[in-house]
Amino acid sequence: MLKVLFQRFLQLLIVLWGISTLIFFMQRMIPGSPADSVLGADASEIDKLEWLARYGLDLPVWKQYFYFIINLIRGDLGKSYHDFTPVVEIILPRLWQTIQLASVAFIFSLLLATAFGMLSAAKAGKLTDKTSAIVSLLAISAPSFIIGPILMWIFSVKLELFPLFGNEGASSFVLPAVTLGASLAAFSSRMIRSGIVDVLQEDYIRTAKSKGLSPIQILAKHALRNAFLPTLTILGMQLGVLLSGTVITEQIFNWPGLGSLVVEAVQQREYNIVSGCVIVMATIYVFCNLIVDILYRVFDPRVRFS
Amino acid sequence: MTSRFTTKRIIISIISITAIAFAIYQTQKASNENDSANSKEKKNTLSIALDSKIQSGDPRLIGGDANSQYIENLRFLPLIGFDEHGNIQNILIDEITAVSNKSWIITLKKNIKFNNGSLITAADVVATYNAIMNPEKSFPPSPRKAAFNSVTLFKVNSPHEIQINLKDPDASFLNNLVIGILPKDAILNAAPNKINDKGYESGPFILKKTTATDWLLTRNENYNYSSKPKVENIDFKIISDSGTRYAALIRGDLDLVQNSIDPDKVSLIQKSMTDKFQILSAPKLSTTYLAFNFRDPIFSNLKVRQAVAYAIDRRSLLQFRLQGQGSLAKGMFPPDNYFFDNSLPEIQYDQQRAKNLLKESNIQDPITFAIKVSSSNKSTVEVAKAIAANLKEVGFQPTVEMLENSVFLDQVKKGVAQVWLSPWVGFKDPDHLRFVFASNMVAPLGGNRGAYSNQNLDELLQEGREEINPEKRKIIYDQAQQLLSADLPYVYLWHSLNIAIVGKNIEGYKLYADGRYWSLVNVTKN
Repeated sequence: MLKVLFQRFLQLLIVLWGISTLIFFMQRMIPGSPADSVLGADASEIDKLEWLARYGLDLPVWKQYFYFIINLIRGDLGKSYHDFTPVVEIILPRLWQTIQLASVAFIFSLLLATAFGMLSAAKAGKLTDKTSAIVSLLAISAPSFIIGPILMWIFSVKLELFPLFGNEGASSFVLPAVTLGASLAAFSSRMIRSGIVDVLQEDYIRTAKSKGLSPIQILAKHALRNAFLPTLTILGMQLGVLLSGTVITEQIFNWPGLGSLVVEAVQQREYNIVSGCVIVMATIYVFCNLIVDILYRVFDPRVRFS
Repeated sequence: MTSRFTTKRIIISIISITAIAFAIYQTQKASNENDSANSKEKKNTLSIALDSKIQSGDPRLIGGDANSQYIENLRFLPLIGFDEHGNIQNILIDEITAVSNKSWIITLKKNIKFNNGSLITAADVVATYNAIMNPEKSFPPSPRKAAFNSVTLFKVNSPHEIQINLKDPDASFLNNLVIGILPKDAILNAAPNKINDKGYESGPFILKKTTATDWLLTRNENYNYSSKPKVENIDFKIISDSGTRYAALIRGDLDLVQNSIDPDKVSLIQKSMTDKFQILSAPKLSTTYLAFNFRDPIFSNLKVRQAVAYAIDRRSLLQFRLQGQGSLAKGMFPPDNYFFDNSLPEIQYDQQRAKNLLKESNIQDPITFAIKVSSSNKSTVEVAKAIAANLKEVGFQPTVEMLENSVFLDQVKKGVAQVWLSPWVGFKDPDHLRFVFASNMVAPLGGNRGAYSNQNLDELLQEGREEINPEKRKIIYDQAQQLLSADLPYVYLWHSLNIAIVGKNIEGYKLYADGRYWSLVNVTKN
C-alpha cells in the first residue's frame, strides 16, 4: 500500500507541474491583460506598463514562469490583482463551499444510483426497468444549465420549498446538489443495473438462491458488491466531471464556491486566482482517484493480493 | 470470524449514521437560528441585486469597476458627486474658485465628520489624493492614478482649503475629484483593503459584513452630511446569472434591481406584475453606436458610412429588440445633457437612399465584413444580428462576430475590427469627445479605436478642453458635434435608459443618470 501511495504522490507532483505549466501559458496566450481589467480598458499604455511592471508581468514569459514555479514550490500562490488579498485566503472558503456541495451531490447520486440500479436489475426487461432507462437517458442528456433553472423555477419560485440561491443552510443544498448529481446518478444507475444483471447469471447466485436466501439478500449482499466494482472506477473518474460541473451549477445557484470563483477570475484575468483554483481542483481529482484505488483494494481481494 | 466481521460492520454503520444525523441536525439548527434572525433583519434590510463582483472597497484601489464605485459613494464622501442628471455637484466642497483654467482653490465644508467622530479636513483630502498619485512603494499602484497625471500641485493651504495646479489647462479635471476621502491616519496605517471597522467611513452607510456573494451595509449613525438614512441595512447581493436575478426578484428575495434585468423580462413585469413592482426609468449616461475603422479603405469612404447609417432601421430596432427602453441618438450626448445639440440632423431609415449611396461609393465588389460585438451583453448581440439583417437588404454582406469582452476590446483597440457595436457609458464631460475622436487619442493611447482623424475637430476639442466658461464650451462642442455628424465616424444608435424594478413596498427611490445608488439615503421600506 505504501508503494502505491508513493507512486501516487509522484503522479500528483507530475500532474500538478503539468497542469500549472499548462494554465500558466494558456492564460498568457489569451487576449486581454490583467491591467485592462484593473485599470479599465481605456487606461493609457504607460499606466498599464507601470502597473504590469509592479506585478512582474512585464518580464519575459520564461522569467515569469520561473518565478511562478519557485513561488509555487514555496506554497505562495500570489495575491489578487484587484484587492490585494492573498490567493489562498480567497480560495480556501470557496473550496470549502464546493467540497460541501460536491460531497452532497456525490452522496445523493450514489444513493439514487444504487437504489434505481438494483430496482432496474431486479425488474430487468419490465416496465420499471424501461421507465428507469428513459429517465436515466433524459438525466444524462440534459445539461445542468437546463436542469438547474427548471428545478429552480418549480421548487423555489413556484412552490417556495427551497432557497433560490446561495448557501443559507441545509435546504440550500437540495437543488444545486440534484442539478450537479443528476447526470452522475443516472449514469451510475445504468452501470450498476448492467453489473447486477450480469452477476445474477453467475453460478454462485444460483447457489445462493438454492440455499434459500431472499431476493433482497441476494441483490444487496452478493450481486451489488460484485457489480459495484466497475461502477467504483467510473465514479472516481466522474468526480472530475462533478468538480468541473460545479462551474455551471454554482453560477446558476449563485453558490459561493470554487467554480464561480474560476469564472469571475477568468473574466477579470486574475492569473494567480485561476492558477490557484486549477491546481487545487487537480489535486482534489488526483486524491479522489487515489481513494478509489484504495477502495478498489478494499472491495476486491484479488487486487489487494496481486 | 463472520460474527466479528458483522459486529464491526454494525458498529461502523451506527457511528456513520450518528455522525450524518448529527451533521444534519447541526446544519439545520444553524439554519433555523439564521432564519429567525434573518426574518427580523429582512424587515429593516433592503436587498439589491448586483450583476458582478465588487472588486474593491478601498477608495485607493478602486478602478473602472462600476459596482465598487457605487458602494464607495455610499461609504465615503468625495469632494464632488453628480446629481440625477449627471451634473457636477459639490459634496465636501463648500466653494471652488478657478484661479485659471489650470488652477483651483477649494474650500471644504467645515462640519462634516468621519464615523469615528473626527472632522474631515484638507489634510485628509490631500493625504487621500497623494496616496493615489504617489503611493508608498509597498502599496499596490492605484488604478485611479492616470486621472491625476497632469497634477503639479495638490496641497493644503489651510485646515479647510486646498490648492490644485495642473500642468496643462483641463476644464474637465474637476470631474475626477470623485474619490472617497479617507482619514489621514488610515492612509498612513491601513493596509490595502483593510479599512473596515475602523470608523474611516463618512458616507450614509458603513460596511457591516462581506462574503463572496453579499456586501451588507448598515446605517452610519454618525453621518452628518445630510439627514440619516431611513432604512437600517442594505444587502447588495451579487448574482451573476440573469435568470437567477429575475427569479429572485419574482420570488420576493430582492427589493430592487437596477439595469440588470433583461429587456424582455422588464416588459413581462410591466405587462403582468405591476401589482408587485414599480418600474422606474430615467435617462442614462450611455450611447450605443456602430463604429468604423478608418484604416480600412472601404470604411474610410464617407458614402459607405452614410449607406450604413441610412440602412439601419434604428427606430424598429429600439422598439422591438430593446422593447423601447431608450431614445434615438443624434450624437454622443443624451437629450437631457447640457451639451446635447438639438440642431443635429437625425438620420432617417431610407433603404433606397442607402442603395444609391452604396452605388455612388464606386466600390464594385460586394462589401463583406464582420460586425464585432462583445458577448457580455445579450441584447447588444441581438441588435448586432438585426443590424446585419438590415445591411444585407441594401447589398452589404455582413456577419456578426461575438467575442468574449476582453478579446473584443483587444481586437478593437488593435485596429483588427472593421466595424463594431458597443456603448460608451458613464461619460460626464464633453471632453469625452476628445478621448474618442482626437487624432492624438488613437488606441491604445486613448479611445479613438477607429483611427479617425480630423484636424478641425482636433482644434475644437482642444479649445473646449481649455475653456472653463460653460456657455462658451457649449458653443465649441456644438460645432464639434456638427462636424462629427457630417463625417460619421460613428453611427449613433440610441441612448439607453436606466431601468429599476422596485418592490411596491419601497418608497423614495430615484434613478441617477450614472447609475449610482445615492437615493437609497431617502428610501423607506414598508
